[in-house]
Amino acid sequence: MTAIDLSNGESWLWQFPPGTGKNEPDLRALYGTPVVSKGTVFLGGYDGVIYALDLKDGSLKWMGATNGHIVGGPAVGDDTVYIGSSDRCLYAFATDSGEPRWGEPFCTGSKVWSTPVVEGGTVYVASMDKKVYAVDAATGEPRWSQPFVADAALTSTPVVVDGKLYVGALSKRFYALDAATGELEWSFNGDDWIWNRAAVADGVVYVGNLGGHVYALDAGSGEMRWQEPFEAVGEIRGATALVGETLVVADKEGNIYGLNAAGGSQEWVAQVGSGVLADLLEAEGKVYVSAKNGDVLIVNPSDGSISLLGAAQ
Amino acid sequence: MDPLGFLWNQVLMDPMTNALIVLTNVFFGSFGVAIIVFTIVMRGITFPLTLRQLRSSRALSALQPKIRDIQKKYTDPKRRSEETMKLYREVGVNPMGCLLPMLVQMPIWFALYRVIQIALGSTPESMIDLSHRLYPWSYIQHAVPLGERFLWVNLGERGDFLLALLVGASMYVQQKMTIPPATDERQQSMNSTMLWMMPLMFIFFSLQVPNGLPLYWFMSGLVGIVLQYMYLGSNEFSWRSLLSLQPATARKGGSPAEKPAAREEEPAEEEETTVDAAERRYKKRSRHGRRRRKR
Repeated sequence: MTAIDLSNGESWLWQFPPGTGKNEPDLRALYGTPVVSKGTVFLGGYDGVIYALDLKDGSLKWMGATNGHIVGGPAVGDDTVYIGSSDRCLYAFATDSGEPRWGEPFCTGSKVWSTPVVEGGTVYVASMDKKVYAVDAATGEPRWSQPFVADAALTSTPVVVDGKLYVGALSKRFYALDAATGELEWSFNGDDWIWNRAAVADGVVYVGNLGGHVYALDAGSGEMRWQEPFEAVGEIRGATALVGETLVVADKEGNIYGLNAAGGSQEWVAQVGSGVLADLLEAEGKVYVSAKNGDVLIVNPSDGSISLLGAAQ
Repeated sequence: MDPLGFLWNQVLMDPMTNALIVLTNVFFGSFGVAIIVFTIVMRGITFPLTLRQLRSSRALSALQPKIRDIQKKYTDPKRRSEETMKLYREVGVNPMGCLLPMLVQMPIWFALYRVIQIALGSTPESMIDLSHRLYPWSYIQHAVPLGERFLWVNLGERGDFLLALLVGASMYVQQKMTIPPATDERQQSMNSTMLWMMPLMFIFFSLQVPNGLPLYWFMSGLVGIVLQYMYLGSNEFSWRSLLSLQPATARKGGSPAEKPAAREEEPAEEEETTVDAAERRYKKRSRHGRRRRKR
C-alpha cells in the first residue's frame, strides 16, 4: 500500500508496511480498494486483518482480526468501518479504536469477497452463498425479511443508487433489486461472469465482465442502451470509471479504452504495457490506473494520453 | 494454441476440473468426497499402467544380484551392457517397463494437483482461472464456489498437521511395500534413507499446500497400498512388517521383516530363488508362445 502526493508525482508519501522493522505485518496480498475517512486509511489484507493507518504518515492506528482471508475492501459509514471475510462473516469495527461494534459479526453461508456498501443506515453485502443481505448498520440485524437469492455466487460489489441495488453474479446474470425490500426489479443475462462493480449515472448502468464485454443497461428496465456491447480484448476485472461523457475501461491485457457513454463507440485506446486488475479511480477529472507491474498511471479521459505517476516498490 | 498447451488444457485440465465439479454436485456439495472418489476413479483408470510398473520393478529388483555379478565379472563397459541386456532378454524383462508407465501417469498426476488447486478457488486469481475452464452448463457454473469443509479440514487452507501425518503414514506403508529387500549393507542404508525420506518430505509438502492436495495424496496412497497388497498378496507382504522401523533385507521365505538376521546371512540364495522364478515364468511363457505358433 503506497500513498502518493498527486500534486507532485515524485513525492511518495509513505508505504505500508514500511519495510523497516522485523515485526511488521505480512499482508500477503491486497485485493480490495482502500478507503479514506476522517484522516484514516482503512485496508483489508489477505492475512485476514483490517488495518487502520494514519493518513499523514501511514503509521498503524489499530488492527482488527477476522478468521479468514480478506479479499473485498472496507466500507465506512458514520463512525464504523465494515468489511467482509472468507470466514463467511461481515465485521463492524469502530473507526477510531477498532473495537467491534456488534456483539457478533453478521455471518452468511459462504465467503464474503465483495466490498460492503453503506447507505442510509443499512449495510448491503453480497456473499458467495448466492445471496445479497441488508443489515442494520448499528446493530448487525437483518433488514430484509429474507435475503435476495441469486442464481450463482456473488463477488462483485453492490451499488446502491436512487433506492435500487445493482449487483452482478458469477453466472453471467446482472440484477437490480429494490434496496428497501430486496425484491427483484429486473435482471439481465450477459455472456460471462461479472466480477466488478457497476458504474451508474444518469439512469444508465455500465458493467463489464470477464468475457471482455461492457454493457450499458437502462437503470429502470434493464434494457440494453447500446446497440451492442463493447468488446475489449481481455477480461474486465476492475471497476470502470465514468468521467463526463467518457466511460474508461481497462482490461487484463493492459488496454485502456475510452468509450462514448451514450453510444458505446470507442473514442480511443491506449496500451499501458501491463495488465490492469484493480478498480479505476476517478479524481479531479482524471483516471488513475494501477497496473499489474506496479506502475501507477494517469489517463486523460478526453484523449487517452497516459503519463506515468510512478512505480510502486 | 500450441499442441502441448492444447493437450494440457483441453484434454487434461479442463475435463478433470469439470469432472471434479460434477462429482461435487453428485456428492451433495462435498468437495472432499469428490476428491476421494475422483482419486479412486483415476487410480482405477491408470491401474493397468500401475500394474505394469509394479511387475517391471519387481522383476528388475529380483535381477539385481545377477546384474552385480555381471558388473564384477566384466570390466569392459560394452561387454557389461551386452551381458546385462542378454540377461534382460533371457528372463523377459524390459528395463524401460517400470519407467514408461510412470512417465505416462505423471502428467495426469500433475494435472490433478493443479486441478485441485484451481477448483478450490481460494484466491481471486484461481477463481477467475476456474471461470475460464468451466463448461458453459449451468449445472457446473452454479456449483461454484465449492464447499471447503470436509470432516475437520478446511480444504482451501494449509497446514493441517493431522492430515499431513496421515499422508506421511500412507507414504511410509507404501515405501515399506515397494522397497525391495536389501541384499547388501550399501543397499540397506539406501533403503533406510528412502523409507524415511519420502514420508518426511511429503509431510513437509503437505503443510505448505492447500489441504485438498494432502487429502488427494493420502487417498492416492491408500489406493496404492490396496493395489500393492493385491499384487503382492499375503505371502510376500505381512502387515506385521510395518512394525519394524527398518527396511526389509533379503531372506528365504516368510515375511521380509520377520527374520532380518537370517536374511542377511543368505541373500544370494533368496535372490537365486526369485530370479529362478522369473526365469521359470519366462520359459513357461516361451513354451506357451511356441505352442500357439505351432497351432
